[in-house]
Amino acid sequence: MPSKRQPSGPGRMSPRDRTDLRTRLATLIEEAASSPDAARAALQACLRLNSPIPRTLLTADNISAAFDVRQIARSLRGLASSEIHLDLSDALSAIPLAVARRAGADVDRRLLADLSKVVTSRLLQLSQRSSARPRRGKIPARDKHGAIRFSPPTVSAAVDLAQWALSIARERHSRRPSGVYPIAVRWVGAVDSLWRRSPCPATLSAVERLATALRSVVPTSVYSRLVTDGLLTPLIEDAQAAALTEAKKALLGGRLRDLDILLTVVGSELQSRDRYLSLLKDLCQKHPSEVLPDAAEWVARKIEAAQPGIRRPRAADESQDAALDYICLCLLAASDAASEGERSVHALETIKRMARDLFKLELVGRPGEIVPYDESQHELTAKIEPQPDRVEILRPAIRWTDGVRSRILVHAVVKAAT
Amino acid sequence: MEVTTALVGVDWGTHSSKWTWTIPAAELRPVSEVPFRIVRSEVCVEAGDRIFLSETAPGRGSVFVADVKGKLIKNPDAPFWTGAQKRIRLTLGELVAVSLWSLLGEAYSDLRRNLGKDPENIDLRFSLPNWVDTFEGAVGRGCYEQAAQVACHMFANDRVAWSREPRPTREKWQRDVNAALRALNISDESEIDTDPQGFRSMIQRSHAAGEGVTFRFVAESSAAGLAGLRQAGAVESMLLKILVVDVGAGSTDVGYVLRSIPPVESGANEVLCQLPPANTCQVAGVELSRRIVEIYRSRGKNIGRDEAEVIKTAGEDTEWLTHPAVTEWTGAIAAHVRAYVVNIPDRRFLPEMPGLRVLVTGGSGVVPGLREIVLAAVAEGLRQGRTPGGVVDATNLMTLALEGPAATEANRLAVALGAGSEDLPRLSYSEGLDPRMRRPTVRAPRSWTG
Repeated sequence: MPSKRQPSGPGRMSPRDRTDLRTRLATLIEEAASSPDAARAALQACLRLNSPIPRTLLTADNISAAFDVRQIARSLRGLASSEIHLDLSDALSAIPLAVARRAGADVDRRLLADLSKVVTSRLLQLSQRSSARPRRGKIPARDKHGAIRFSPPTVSAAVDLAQWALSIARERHSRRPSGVYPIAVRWVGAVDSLWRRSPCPATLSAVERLATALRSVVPTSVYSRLVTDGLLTPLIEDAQAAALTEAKKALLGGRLRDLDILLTVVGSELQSRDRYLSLLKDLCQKHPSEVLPDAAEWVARKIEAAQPGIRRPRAADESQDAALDYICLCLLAASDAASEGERSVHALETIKRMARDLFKLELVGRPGEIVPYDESQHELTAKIEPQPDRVEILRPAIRWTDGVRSRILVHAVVKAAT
Repeated sequence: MEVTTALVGVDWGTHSSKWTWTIPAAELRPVSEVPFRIVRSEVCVEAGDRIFLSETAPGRGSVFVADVKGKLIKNPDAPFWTGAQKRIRLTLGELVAVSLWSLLGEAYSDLRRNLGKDPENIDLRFSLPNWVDTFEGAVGRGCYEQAAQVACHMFANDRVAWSREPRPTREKWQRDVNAALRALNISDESEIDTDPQGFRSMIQRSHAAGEGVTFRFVAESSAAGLAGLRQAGAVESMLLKILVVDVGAGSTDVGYVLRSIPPVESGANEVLCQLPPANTCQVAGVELSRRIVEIYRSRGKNIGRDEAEVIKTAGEDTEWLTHPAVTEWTGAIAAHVRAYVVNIPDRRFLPEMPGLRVLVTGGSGVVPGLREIVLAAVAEGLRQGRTPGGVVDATNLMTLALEGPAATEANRLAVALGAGSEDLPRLSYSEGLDPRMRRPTVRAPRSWTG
C-alpha cells in the first residue's frame, strides 16, 4: 500500500511528466551516492511520485539541500524512515541546516516564529492522527487502530530543534523576553505530544533534557510563566511517573542501563530521586526472589551514594571503631553468664574466639583472679590510699591488640585483694 | 592527579579531642569516608621531658595537665604566655599550642599516608566553644585564637615536624613557641578582643598562616549542625531550621542554624546561616557515665566507667534510663535547651512554617530517650516564646541518615566532621533576624500645599 506523501514542488505533474520522472528515478538513486545534485533530485522525485525513499538518501544534509523549511515541515511524514515507529530525526535535524543555507546566520524573528509555527503544527498534526491521550504515568501504547508512534531519535531531534529555536529566540527577543513565550509554548507542546507517542525509556531522558534546556535557555520569567500556566509541570511529572513505572520493569528485568537512564530523568529533582530510589528499595525488599542480585546491588549503591553530605567516618586507629563497643558488650555479657553452666561457658568461648579473630579483642583477667595492681588496666571500685599492690578482679578488662599495638578499651574493675 | 586543597577539622575538647580530614569533592572523585582519630586531651610529660597528648589515661604518677580547655576561661586575669604551671612547667599558652599542633600534625601525617602526596593548600578549622556573652569567654576566645595562630604558624613552617618528632622535649617546644611568638608579635601584652559579642567576628575571620595554610574557627554547635543541614533529601520546603544540641563528654552546646533552598529555576544560591548559640552547659556525658556506674553498683553489678560509656551508646539494657539520677541529668539538659529556645533571636523564620527540626548529636546524644526529652523541651520553649501552635506542632526530630556503629561515630564526631566540611565557608553568621516588614515604614510627606 503506497504511503501517503505530500507532493513536493510547484503544481501537479502531468501523467507524462510523472512517467518520465519515474523512468529517471532509478538512475538518480543510483547516482545519488556519488552526486549531491543527483541525491537532491532523487529525494524530490521520490516525494513527488510518492515513492518510498531509500534509507541512504535520508540524511540531514540531503534533506536540507533538497528542500526549504516549509517543504520539510510539510513533508515530514514523507521524509520518515519507517512506518511503525516514525523516525523523523533526519528531517528535523535538517531544518537548522536548511535555515542556515537560506538565511545564513541571520535568522530574524519572523522567520523563527514562522518556522516554529509550521514545524510544531505539523508535528502536532502527525501525532494527533493517533487517538486519545494516553493515561498518566504510562508509556503510550498503541491504540486499536495501530496509531502512529515516534521513534526515540525523533523525540531527541525534536528536543534539539526546540533548544536551537529557543536559543535564537532568546537572542532575538533580548529586549522583550516575553516574546519567547509563544515560541516556547509551541515547542513544549510539540515535544510533549511526540513523547507521549514514543515507546522507549530513552525518550524520557529527552524530556529531562528539554526541562534542563528550558531552565538554562529561556528567560527566567518565561520559564516561570510556563510553570505557572501549567504547560511544563504535567510533562515533567508525567515523565517522572512514567520513569518510575518503567523503572520497576527494568529492575525486575535486570536492565541496569535502563535504570541508569531513568535515574538521570528523575535525578535532577532531589525529592523525585529519593522517591525513585525508595520505590526500588521497596521492590527489592518485597520481592527479593524476583530481583537479580546485580540489580539489588545497583539499588543499594545508588541509595548509599545519594546520601548527601554524610560521609561515613572511618577510624584511622582501628581500635577506635564504634563497632567494637558492641563486641565489648557481647564479651562482657558472655563473661557474666559464664558461671551459669557448661553451655554458657561454651558460648563464652565461641564469642571470645569471634572477638579475637574478627575484631582483635580479648578479655583480660577472670573474676576472682588476684593480680598485681596496674592502673593502666584496672579501675578500683573505691579510691584507696595508698594504692594496693595486689587486687582482685571483679570484671575483666577488654584489650584490643594487633600483635604490635595494644590498647585497653575497657578497664577491669578491681578491688584491693584481701 | 595533584591535590590542591585538603580540609582538616579539629574538635578540641575538654576530655577528648578529635581530628578529621577530607578532600573536597571537586578535587577528586568524592571520598566516601572521612578518616578520624580520637585523642585524650591531657597534655603529658614523660621521662626525658617529652610532651605529648596521650592515647590512654595518664597514670597517677605521670606528670600531666587535664582540662586545659576549661582553664582558658577559669581565670581571665592570669597570664597566658608566661607563668608556667607547676609540675609540668609549661605555660597555659604552650599547653594549648602543643595540643593544637599535635592534633594538626597527626591529622596531616595520616592525610599524607593515605594520599601519598602533599596537598598544595590546607584549610584548618578549629572548633570554637560556645563561650558567648561573658567576659571570661571573650578572654578565653582571644587566648585560644593566639594559641591557634602559634600552632598553625609552626605547622605551616614545617608540616611534617610532628611526623619526625611527635614528642618534642619541653625545652625545644618552648624555644619553638617563643620563636613563633616573636614572629607573630604575640605576647600577654597583645591586645585581644574582650568584647563579649566578639564571637561573631571570630568565626567569620579566616587567617593565613603561610605556605598555603589557612585556618578559621567554627562554633561547635553550628559545626555539629552542618551534617544535618546537608540532608536536603529530607527537606520538603525551601527552608530548613535546625536546633542542634551537641551532648559531648564535658559540655553540652546548643545552637540554631538555617538553610534556605531556593527553587532551581530561580537561579539563586542556597544560604547557610547560624545565629548566636547558647552558652556552654557543663552537664554532659561524663557526668551521665558516672551516674550509670553508681546505678549499676547499687544493683550489685560492679561496672567501670568504660563499660558505662559503652552501655550508654551501644547497650540494649535501658533499665537505668528511668533512674532518678538519670532523669535529673536529662532534665538539666532539657532546661538548658528550653531556656535557649525561648530566646532564639530569629523573629523572621522561626515563627513561620516549616517547623523546627531538632538534631541531637555528640557522643552522649545517642542515649535512648534523650532526643524525645529534648524535643519536648524545645516545644515548651517555643510555646513560651509565643511561637504559633502550628509551628510548634510541626517541630520534630531529625536524624543523620546513618545507622548502627556509623551513626554512633557520626554523632560523637559531629563537631569534627562539620569543622572539616567543605560547606563550612558558606556558613554565615547573623546576630538575629528581624520580623518581616508588613507595611512600609516610610510614608511620603504631604505636600505643603495640601
